[in-house]
Amino acid sequence: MTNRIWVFMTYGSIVGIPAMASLFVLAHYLFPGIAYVFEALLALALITNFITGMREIYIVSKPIPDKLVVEPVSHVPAEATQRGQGKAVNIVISRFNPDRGIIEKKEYSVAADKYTSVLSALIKVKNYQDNTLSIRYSCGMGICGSCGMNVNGRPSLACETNLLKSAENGKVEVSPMLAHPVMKDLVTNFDDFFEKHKAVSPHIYKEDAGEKYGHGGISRQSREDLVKFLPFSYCIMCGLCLDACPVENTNPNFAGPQALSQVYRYAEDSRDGKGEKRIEMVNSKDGIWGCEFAGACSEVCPKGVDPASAIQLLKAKKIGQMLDPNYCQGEKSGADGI
Amino acid sequence: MAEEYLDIRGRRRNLLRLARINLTSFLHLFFYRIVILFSIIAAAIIIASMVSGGQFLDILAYASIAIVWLLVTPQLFGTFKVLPIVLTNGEAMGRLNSSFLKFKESVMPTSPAYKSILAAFPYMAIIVWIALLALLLAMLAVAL
Ligand code: SF4
Ligand code: FES
Repeated sequence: MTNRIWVFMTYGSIVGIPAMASLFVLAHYLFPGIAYVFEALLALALITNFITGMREIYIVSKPIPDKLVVEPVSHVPAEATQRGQGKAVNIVISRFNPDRGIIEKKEYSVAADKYTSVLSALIKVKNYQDNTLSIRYSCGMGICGSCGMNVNGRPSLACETNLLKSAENGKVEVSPMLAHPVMKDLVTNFDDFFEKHKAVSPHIYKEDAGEKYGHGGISRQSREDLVKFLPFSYCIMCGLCLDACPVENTNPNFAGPQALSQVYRYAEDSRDGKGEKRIEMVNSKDGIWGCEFAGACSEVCPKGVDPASAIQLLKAKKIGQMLDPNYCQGEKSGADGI
Repeated sequence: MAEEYLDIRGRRRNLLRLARINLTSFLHLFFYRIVILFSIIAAAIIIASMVSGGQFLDILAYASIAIVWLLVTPQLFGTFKVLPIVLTNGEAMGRLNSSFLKFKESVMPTSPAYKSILAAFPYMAIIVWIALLALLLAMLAVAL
């Protein structure tokens, strides 16, 4: 109930401010006698906005850790720099040194041709210039989601980012994702990320006795059913969307775009038996209502999952449920989640 | 979380990271943060102008409404964007995988005209919003 009130106040004020401001201006010209009513309502919406907004701002405010000391760039001369053919590109890598507890920037130079990806350049650096560099990767072709990092400040898959195209004045900046705890150099810890994913039960729940023993037939799915959730199932769990998300960056308790997009993915799957409990799991301030729809997650998603749209679709579903007089609140019992 | 990790999540200033990732998203968030704080000042001025009715306070009230008006514009655009997204399951104004969109067209085609009208809606709504702001500024000019 409290959750409902906060949601109502937050969204009410966001809609109320423009609505009342517009009505005030229109009434001023059309019905001047009642313009003051809308002016008073505008003041009320502004006060509500202030209260709900301050509550949001209050949620988390950590002091800046002194670990984040960036050391000046130290050039690493390398005889192996020009190994191979191509143009020389300088890569400035922000490396987290866990022993010293600081981020150090180091610059390396590699030869790149038009096919060189940021990942292959980093592997070159590790193989020929500095074998202490830590990177994580596996497939090298945008499938496994292991090589997420910031390239020129933008969360990207290193294996899918072209080095020459990213170079600005012959230089590319590479740094670890910061919305995941950094372990060493460019390697981040995904424990929290996987926990959040796990918390939304990312698998199909089905009473499948019929299917198993042949009484109920198999779970057929039409192509129409498939298109409802297909793009949301393309997620490779690279964590780039979390790194881009301003809410996740400022409130680590937020479920995050990846987990929320998976809620929509399973909620829309005709084979799933969890039904409305799925949305109930994330019907909270750290769930769907925490999203401010900045849209940065969808901008950086390499697979076109569009988590931002998935979250708005979940909100719309929830509002639909709240407006439905036949909707049974008891449905939510038994739902775990965020 | 083990102590040796670098965990800087939770800092308000992390919002600034967004400026390099996506400027529109940054403005959306940043303006909203300002409007939260400005809300209470604007509300106080409006209430004071309604209660006392002096000309100076009226002008101040119009001016503060105009500032709020500008600051909520990115937020409003985001809100208007939700309508096409919800009505087309992310097809209009979303960022869904392009090969999926081709597949979807072959299974359940959506009229391009319908999608274009929906996609144009947030822009049209913002034009109306700006036109109303012009009216407000006219009120302010008259009051001055
Ligand atoms: S939603 Fe996109 S960006 Fe986020 S984890 Fe999945 S594939 Fe990566
Ligand atoms: S190495 Fe697998 S996605 Fe980049």
